[in-house]
Amino acid sequence: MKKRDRRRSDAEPLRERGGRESLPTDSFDDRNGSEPADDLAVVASLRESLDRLDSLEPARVPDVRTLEHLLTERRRIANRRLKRELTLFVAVAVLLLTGLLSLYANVPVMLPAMQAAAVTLVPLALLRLRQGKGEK
Amino acid sequence: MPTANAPQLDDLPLVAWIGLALLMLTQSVWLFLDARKRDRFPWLWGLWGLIQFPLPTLVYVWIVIKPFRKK
Repeated sequence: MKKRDRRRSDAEPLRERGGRESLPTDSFDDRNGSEPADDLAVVASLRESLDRLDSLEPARVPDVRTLEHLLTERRRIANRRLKRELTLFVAVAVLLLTGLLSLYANVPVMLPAMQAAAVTLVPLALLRLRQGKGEK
Repeated sequence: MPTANAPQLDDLPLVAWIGLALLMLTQSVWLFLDARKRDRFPWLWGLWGLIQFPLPTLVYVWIVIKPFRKK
């Protein structure tokens, strides 16, 4: 049997049973009249082989305790990471805030300057970062 | 040139400075945590939240939370 003929004959039972129309084999128009007995034999041998393959390795049911343990471990790691990052952020923030407030108190002109800089530079940085993320 | 009667930053009582610092810190920590949860540049939002109030929160709600809820 030619390759194209075989593909057509595989699709035939599916189509008869109202199978999906978008099968790749549907693009073939040439109906050479494959025999249904041939198809049934192919399906039967396929099923037999698949059953044999299944019997080689029994289906494993995942252990619930193992899964729960994995989940707990993952959650613990995520929590630890969050705590570490938050601590670092708060430390940086306290330092920066102290510096900024003392700067504003001693050099009041810096307050409007910082505000203007923040209003113009942060949206620009955000835009660039978003563009960079979009390109990835 | 500041006039003699104009309020100066030096005139602010210590309680006001502490209140301001707490407000900014709270805003920036919230921005940092929420942006981290949504994977939207947490450090940038957090640091911006330290400099101004309440513009970063308003912009964040407008460009991060609103589109996120629409999805």
